[in-house]
Amino acid sequence: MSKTDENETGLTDAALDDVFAAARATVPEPRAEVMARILADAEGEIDRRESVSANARPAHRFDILRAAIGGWPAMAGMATAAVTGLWIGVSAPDQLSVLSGGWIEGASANSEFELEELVPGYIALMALDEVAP
Amino acid sequence: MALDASSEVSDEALLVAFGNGDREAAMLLTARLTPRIMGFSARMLGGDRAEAEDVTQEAMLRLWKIAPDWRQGEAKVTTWLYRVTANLCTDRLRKKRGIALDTVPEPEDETPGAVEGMIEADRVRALETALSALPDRQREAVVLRHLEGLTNPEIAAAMEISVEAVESLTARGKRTLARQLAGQREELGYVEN
Repeated sequence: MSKTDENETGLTDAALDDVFAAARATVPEPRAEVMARILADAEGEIDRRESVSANARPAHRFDILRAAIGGWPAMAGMATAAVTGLWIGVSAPDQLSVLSGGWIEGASANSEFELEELVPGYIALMALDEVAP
Repeated sequence: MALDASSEVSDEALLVAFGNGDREAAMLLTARLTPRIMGFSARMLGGDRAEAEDVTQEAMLRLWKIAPDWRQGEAKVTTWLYRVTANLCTDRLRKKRGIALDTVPEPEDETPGAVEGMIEADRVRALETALSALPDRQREAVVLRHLEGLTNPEIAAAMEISVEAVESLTARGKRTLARQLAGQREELGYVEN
């Protein structure tokens, strides 16, 4: 005899189990219209995702490079450095000669340094060459 | 995905397939899960069919949206769905709580011929009414255990509580139901000789 039988304040466990069984046997089925709405939601979700992925622009090589070096600010810095380097190389050998203390000379300047001065071991190297048979 | 193999494919695998754009997986999941969620939400909402349909559609929509991020092995789809559905039901019940309690029908003790005329549908109706009066968590635990047939560990996962807490909730819920239905003992066909 269960506790609920003893104090008679509630349904017995067996009776309650009967009620549960009756409820389990009468499951409310979803209407076809509801099933259709749910399926339409699923189709719509797939369509939405496919639409988003189709609209996404494929990454260009330049975009990948730009992203790799840090975006447009880094690109501007690189462009400035490239132009400056080009300018130094093409148009300013005389000024470079001054800035470098004469180590780098322009085409119009006379050479003031011999190879032996720039490479101190050069004479010894030449001597070895002469000794060799 | 072949339909004849559908019964062997888990809900989780179907959901991952749906997340990858498999429309047939959506059909299989809808057919498999919607009746369960519909039944659960109807019982949680005191038999309100229209509300249960809305909740079911909303829960399934959330499932469709989470599908691309679903990771197999982390959770069961049904457990996740029961949790989402229970939360949706609780939200709706809280919004209309004051009205709902006023409209719960009182047991009619003096109805002539009620003893002989009791049928299963009346038992179901009485249970729905009694369930509606339970605290939310007790109702959820009782419905999952005794009507949906989940095990205590499955309920614990769905409700995010311990198994011991599930046992306590279901025990208290059953005691409360037994007391509430006692007033309808005769109408329910349990006449003591």
